Amino acid sequence: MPIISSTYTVGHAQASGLHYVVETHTWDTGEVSKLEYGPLPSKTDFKSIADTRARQIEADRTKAEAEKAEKEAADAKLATVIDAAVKAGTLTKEDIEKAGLDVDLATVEKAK
Amino acid sequence: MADIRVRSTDGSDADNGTTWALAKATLAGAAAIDAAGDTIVVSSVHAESTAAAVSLAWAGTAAAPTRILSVDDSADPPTALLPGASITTTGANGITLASASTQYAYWNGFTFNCGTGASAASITIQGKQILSGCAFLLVTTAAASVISLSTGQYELRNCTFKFGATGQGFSVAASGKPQLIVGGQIASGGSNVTTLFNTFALGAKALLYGFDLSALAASVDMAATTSSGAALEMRNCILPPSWTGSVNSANPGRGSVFEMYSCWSGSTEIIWRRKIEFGAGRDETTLVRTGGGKHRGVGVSLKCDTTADAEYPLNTFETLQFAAQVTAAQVGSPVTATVEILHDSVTALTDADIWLTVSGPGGEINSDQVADVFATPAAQASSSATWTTTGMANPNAQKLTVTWTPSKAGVVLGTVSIAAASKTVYVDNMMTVAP
Repeated sequence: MPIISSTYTVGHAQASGLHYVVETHTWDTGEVSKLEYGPLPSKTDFKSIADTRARQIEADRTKAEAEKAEKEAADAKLATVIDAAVKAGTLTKEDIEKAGLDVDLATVEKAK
Repeated sequence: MADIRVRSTDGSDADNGTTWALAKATLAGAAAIDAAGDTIVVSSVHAESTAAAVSLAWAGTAAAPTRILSVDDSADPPTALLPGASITTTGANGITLASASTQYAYWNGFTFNCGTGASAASITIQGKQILSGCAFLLVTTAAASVISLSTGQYELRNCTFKFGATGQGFSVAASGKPQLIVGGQIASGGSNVTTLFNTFALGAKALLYGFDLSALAASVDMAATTSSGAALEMRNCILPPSWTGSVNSANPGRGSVFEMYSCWSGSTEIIWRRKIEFGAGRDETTLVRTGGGKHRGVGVSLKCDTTADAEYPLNTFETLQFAAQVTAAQVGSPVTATVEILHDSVTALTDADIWLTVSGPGGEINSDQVADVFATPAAQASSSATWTTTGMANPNAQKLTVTWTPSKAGVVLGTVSIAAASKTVYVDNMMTVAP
């Protein structure tokens, strides 16, 4: 899921003479990530900053998606174990509440 | 409550730690025998190293916490703190300080070196602790290694941190009370992490006061998380010079707030930054109101940009809180709180687009928000205030006003909420209360 375009707009000078910059990164899905940074001197290489940031936020998103998938897999595994334990009668709704497990108790009721 | 002495140079875990001559050799040796309220005095020359995970669990309780101190061992009993004691793990072995979130401990003057090579190894801090003047060094170059601010409530005071790879950073767990870092710094000579807090769990919170991260690269982001319920607040921190990063480079999740107050990047002050799910805000020093709010003598407004998802009544962006005063002479008679705003459109903003909410000293809550979701929004009042409007095609000055009768004198707090989608509004950094 790459970023297909990155642009930047340099704002007006602040009282300090420095400028804020708004970066706009468009993903291949059409989603837009926008952020503003600064203030910095007008002669700063804003294009280089935008290009570097695009690669970084792509890497951040890839990492976040991998972590989310890992967590979902772990949660699914836990749900299977809990489901089996409830059906076997070795785990009750009270046990789950006491352990503070993040489980849908209505699902537990159905499993019984 | 006893002192247990530890010194790696000549100690033995078979000894009882009652004198320097009978010092324990390791912190684990002391942790095996400590009782609630004990003080573990560790020689400043103590340097233990192990190719195994270190997990130190203390007997300290709320009534009798454990103290673990790096000391000058020239006296017995010791009478002076002296930083220098160190705990090192090698390989893929981490360090855990307090193995449960209920342990009470105070540390002073230790260095924790974690992992070697490319093996993943993290430093985990848990429990109810204060760690003062300590150094946390991720020696491992594994990107997955973190300094984990895990469950518990603790403060890291004047501590030093160093990372071994650009992908490392702090990881914050949800724990009720925010994790607090006061003073201290990122040491130079380590790897420049790309994101300071590379993981924020759902509901995790961190506060940084007076923390120096100027040794990091200018591009460092404070966070890159979409977690819900997360919060990062930074005050009086030192950022890298010519900072180009973001308080959160991702889109914050539901209820998350990432903000900075009075932080410095070189000689440039970052007066205010905020980023939430429905918008972002920063300080502005050119588009300001004549005679309006100032900071260090310079006019300031709050530039607020909402996202496309902003919408009345739920999806709003809030400014920082304004403070004003109700005097004793004003009690019992109507007063009006006013905040001036500016935007670039001929179409006036309504009371469903933007409003002021005021909390009076007598507990009164009043707002100029539209009455309810079925009411017809009305334009907020036009204002005759003078603003610098550089670059604006249709500058439109309006004002938010709330009138109420205060029952007590004291501080009045006000917040501006913006629900208009994809809108930029400049909010004067001042609330007045008159007459």
